[in-house]
Amino acid sequence: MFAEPQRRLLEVSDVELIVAAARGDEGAFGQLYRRHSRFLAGVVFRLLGNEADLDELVQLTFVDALRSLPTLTRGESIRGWLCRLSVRQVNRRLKRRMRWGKFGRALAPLLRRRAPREARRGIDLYGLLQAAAPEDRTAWLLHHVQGESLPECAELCEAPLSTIKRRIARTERLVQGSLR
Amino acid sequence: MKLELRSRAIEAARGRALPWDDLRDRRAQRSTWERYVRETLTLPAPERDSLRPSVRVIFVAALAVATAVAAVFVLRLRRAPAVPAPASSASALPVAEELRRVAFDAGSQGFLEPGAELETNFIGPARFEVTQRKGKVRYDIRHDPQREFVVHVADVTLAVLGTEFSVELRESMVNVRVERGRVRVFDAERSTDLKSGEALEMRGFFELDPLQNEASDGVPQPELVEPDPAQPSDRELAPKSDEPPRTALSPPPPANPH
Repeated sequence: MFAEPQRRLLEVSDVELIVAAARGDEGAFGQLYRRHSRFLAGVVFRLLGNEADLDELVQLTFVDALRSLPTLTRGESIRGWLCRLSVRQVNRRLKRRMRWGKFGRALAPLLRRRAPREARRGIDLYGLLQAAAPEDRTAWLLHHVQGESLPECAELCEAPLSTIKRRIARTERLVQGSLR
Repeated sequence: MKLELRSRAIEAARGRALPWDDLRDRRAQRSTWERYVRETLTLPAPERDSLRPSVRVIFVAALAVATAVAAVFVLRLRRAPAVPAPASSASALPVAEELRRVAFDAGSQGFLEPGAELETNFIGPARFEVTQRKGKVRYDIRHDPQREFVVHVADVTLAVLGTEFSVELRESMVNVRVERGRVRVFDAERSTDLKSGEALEMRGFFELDPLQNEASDGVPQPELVEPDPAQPSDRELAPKSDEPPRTALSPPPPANPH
């Protein structure tokens, strides 16, 4: 399908690329990856707050996308769909981190000490958000840091708008309460 | 103040540089595709990979168990105390490896040393007769009060009911040694009763030639049995009691002196 020169791939839509990639076309996958990887890495990085699991979560997002191609609804933006999958991966990872419980809390001061200089100068936002539930934290970060609107947040988090509002409000109280 | 701090923190989070360069992008792209191909497009491979370690582990575990069992078995064999031989077995004849076993009927048997020759003369309900022509034969005769076992060797005749004894014919000399039971020996002049542990050597006047003997014509010959390691050893064939069997040729045995 994509035996034509590389420039020809630029004219192919995301849907065609991901269908071909799911069938084993590495060229199509490469093109799709180059189109969206940096954006997805940015979303994951802002939601996580560090680059520890950045590569793995981007990788998992694309693998999940290739596997769950039937879940792509007609007319949906590929980038939005990939972003939704990456949010799902981030939430899973954050929940896994939460399961460590005491170990994670014990590790938090060490992480804060290793935070970037600008974070140490101001407020360690991600340190504050460690106490929030993963879904709450993700919704708040998507809205305030990533800059998504509330309906977009609801779509990305796969939750009703009211739920997203409650989550953001809950996290907002936590952040306000932690500020001195 | 709080809002200002919050806004500053959000701005700082937004302004953080994304640590994602071209090298990292290409590396992640390659690993993503390899992972997708490995886990999705070629399903049998990961299945094989997932099975291989378990098969290997099972094989190694089975090998270790087998080795341990073999080691325990060997150690036990080495440490097993030797079974003490019964006192009466001192007189038992050693069973040479090259002995040939001849099975008579009713469970009786003979062990022929190399060069020994044995021939069946008569098989009847009350008597079983064999002729020993050469060499040394050890007889193990099962006790049967209704049936007499007779051995002709040279001009000597031995009559037994149930016993274990050996007869050797060498250069016209007949040597009879009784291991268990009682044997009555007839020669041209007299008859002698031999008990357990006793031996008798007498001169035989001739050595039978199988070609001149016509008495065995038509009599089925004893079956020659290949040496069997499962057969009882000389220790097992050793006398279990000094009490002689009651035979038709011998009077009831006296009270056991022991």
